[in-house]
Amino acid sequence: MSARGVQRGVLALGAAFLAALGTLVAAPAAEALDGDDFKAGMIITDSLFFDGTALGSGAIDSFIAAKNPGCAAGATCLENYRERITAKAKTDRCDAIAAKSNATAGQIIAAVGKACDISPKAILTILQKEQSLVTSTAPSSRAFAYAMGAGCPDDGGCNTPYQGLYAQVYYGASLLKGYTLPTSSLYSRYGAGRTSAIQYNVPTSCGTKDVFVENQATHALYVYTPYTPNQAALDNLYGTGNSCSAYGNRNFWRMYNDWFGSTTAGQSLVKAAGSSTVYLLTTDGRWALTGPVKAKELAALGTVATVSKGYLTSYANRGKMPRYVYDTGLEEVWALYGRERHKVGGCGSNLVNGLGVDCADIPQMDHGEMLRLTAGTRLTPLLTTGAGAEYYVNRAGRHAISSAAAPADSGESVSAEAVTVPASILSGAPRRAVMVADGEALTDGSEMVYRSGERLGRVGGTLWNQAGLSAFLSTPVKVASADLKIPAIADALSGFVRTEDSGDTYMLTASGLVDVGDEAPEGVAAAVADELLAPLPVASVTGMPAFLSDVATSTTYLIDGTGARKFPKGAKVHEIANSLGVDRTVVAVPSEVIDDIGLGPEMLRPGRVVKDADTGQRWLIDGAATRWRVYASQATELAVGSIATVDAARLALYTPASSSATIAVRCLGDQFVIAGGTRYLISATHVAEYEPVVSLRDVEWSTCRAIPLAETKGGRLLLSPSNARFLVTEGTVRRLKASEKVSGMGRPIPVLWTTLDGFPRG
Amino acid sequence: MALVLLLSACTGSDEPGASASATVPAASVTPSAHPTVSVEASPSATPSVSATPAETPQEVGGDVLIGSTANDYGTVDPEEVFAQTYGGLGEADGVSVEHSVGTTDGGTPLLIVEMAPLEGVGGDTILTFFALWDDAVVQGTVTGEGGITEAQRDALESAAAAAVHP
Repeated sequence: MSARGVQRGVLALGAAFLAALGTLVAAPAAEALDGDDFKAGMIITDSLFFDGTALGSGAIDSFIAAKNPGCAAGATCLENYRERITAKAKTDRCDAIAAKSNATAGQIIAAVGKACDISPKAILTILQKEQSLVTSTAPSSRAFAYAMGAGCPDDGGCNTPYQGLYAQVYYGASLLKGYTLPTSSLYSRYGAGRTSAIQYNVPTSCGTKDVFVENQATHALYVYTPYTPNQAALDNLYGTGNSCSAYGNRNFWRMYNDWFGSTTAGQSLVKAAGSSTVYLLTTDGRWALTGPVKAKELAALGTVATVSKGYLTSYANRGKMPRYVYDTGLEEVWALYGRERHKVGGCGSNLVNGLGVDCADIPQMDHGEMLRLTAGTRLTPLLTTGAGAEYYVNRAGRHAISSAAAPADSGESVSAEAVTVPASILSGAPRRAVMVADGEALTDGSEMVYRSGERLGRVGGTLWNQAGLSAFLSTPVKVASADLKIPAIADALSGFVRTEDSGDTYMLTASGLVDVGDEAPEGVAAAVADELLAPLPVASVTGMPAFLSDVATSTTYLIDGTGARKFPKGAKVHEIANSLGVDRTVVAVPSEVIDDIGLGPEMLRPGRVVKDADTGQRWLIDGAATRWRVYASQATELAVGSIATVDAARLALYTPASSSATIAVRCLGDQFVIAGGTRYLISATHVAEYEPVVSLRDVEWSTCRAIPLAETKGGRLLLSPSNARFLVTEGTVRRLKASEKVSGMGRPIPVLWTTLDGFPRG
Repeated sequence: MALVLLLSACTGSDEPGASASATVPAASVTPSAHPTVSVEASPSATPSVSATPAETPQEVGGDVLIGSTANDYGTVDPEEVFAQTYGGLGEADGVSVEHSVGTTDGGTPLLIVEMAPLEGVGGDTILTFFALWDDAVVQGTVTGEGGITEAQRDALESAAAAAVHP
């Protein structure tokens, strides 16, 4: 039929009513669809074409009613059509259909669409493009008889017993479905996934076009109507092309687009009406794009089609879309990220296995579909995540590495550029032992592993940091805790280490190693390979230092046979060193060294009077190694503050002096009288007056310093608790009268009666 | 048009199932808002029209089918009636729709619409007139496969001009 005939007719009619006619008005043009958008190989997507429940019967009837201007008086149209449909048994193409009387066109189309998995939208489009049945206000009997054009070849008239709406819809739908079944003899004609020469029109002289038929829907349409539109037909999309133009498939494509939207939607991506979850459809099921791969990353696969829930659920639910897909054409695994596809390798390749990809558990995608995705960088065994973590992947899994050089230093043969991938690419790869390059280190923040030569060492993070090993070895590369799989062959370093070959024992300090010889605590030195310690400097001095300082707490310890003895408050290293006659050098060490040595009894503060918890005896601590017995008469005078009770074992570390303490001491050449916990400086002349009764004791300066020094010098005058003055003369005391004037005797020293009582009265 | 029959005949295996009906089923039209007609499909799938009293459709010369119905458009303005009925149709539906307006010999507003399939689209061309009274519409239709003949057009024009209140 010809549109030109229509134009002529209306004009003629206008002439007949010229006096009464108004203006001639053309129907509004549809929104322009561009013929260049027609893809001969993909007329409509499978998900749209085979969505048998895309519309329900009510929606179909409503659509027809909306499209039909109103059935002419006395005419039978789709909108008022009724038919008693007969039951149909299930076939290999269509499910069974139940008989129904007085069925509407919508009910007929819906029933057949659902049974044969052909979209009612596609059926409506075919009914319109074949017979204009949807819009016709007075269709002829022939239009109903051959409603779908099924059995009406373009090169001949209709010749089929399947006449009438139901018969034609069922016949047409079952044919379209049947062409997609591999058992069909027409399955390979214009088969999906291959290129076929398709005629432009009936005359063979019009030629053919080589068309790569992308899917089953297009294959079915070409078997149903075996012509593809030529360029002339596409250039004049709503009109006439040339003598070689055929319009069937063009009109189907055009009309479906105009009525129901893009025919390219859902080529791979669909979602159910009312749901926002987009799925990738593959031959092995549907994959929700709610996991690592989001729908926008696969936008190149085409527009998302909204399909019926029934159609969607006809695909097996395979869960969330993984990062990997299998190209069924190339038989290779590809990774999807960054809106690109990245080749990984065959299912048996080391990389695929190492990444934990099971080809049976990933989407199987047609090669043609894969080609719609841009090819990106091929994955290599060296992979870097966006967060900076680096991995080497071999058949066993992924290995966190310190740098690209690590695999080679670990004995792997690899020469590839690192490729940056999303972390999710590696999520299925089993975590294997880390690989560290020579001179480099890895850490998860709590533990370090480093390589020196052929050997690996592992060090606790605290020890590493406190020993400042980054300065000597390498700043560790940070990895996730889960990635830090340290090989069992790695030697564990501790505060003390002993080299396997040379047998030297070292202590880790904040500035390298100290060769402690045989002075290391027993049983704590870890045996390590010599080369692991090679990068660390060794101090020139050997032996265990007398003093160690914990770098974490700055606490100083005296190291002796009992362990690490915490310095008393206020004590000075040089005083203690002098007291002990040892080198005053304090070596800063990690806390672990102190732990390895073990804590000894805390040092007692020099100058303090303490009480033995066992015996009740009182002792004056003198320096770091001596104690003086303090009898009750002097205890109160000598004690600075309260007298603490200490364990006998702690006290036992101080050697008792050969005599008892007195209130007169000498240190660093000065003489003092101690009274009331205060130290009074007195001259040698004055102290000589005390000595017949009070022997002068030589004590450590640290002892003197620990006893507060009186602001005024003392002398030969003692002051009783009742403020009576006594003058010391040659070991005796004489009470002075209140009015008695003395000079050159120094300021009176307040003392207890017991002290005064220790002097004979002169 | 489909090549189906030809291909099916070659193979046989692509024929529909045995339960497929080879005969044209009976079809009936439910009374709609417009025409008050009753049609039964003949074995050849051609709906037949039973002429009944005045308001029922009648076939006049030139295959023009005439009937009447109440005016549910709410207007006698032909342009408004066109907008309500064919206004949304066009190329996107695979049809060409053109219309003209005028009056009958008796001065009644008249709408004439010709709807034809676009190139390559199957189906019939339909020429329809609507004579519009406040309470009634007389509608005449002629259907032509491959277009409207001059004789059909003349017949419909005559019927339109002569339309009277039912």
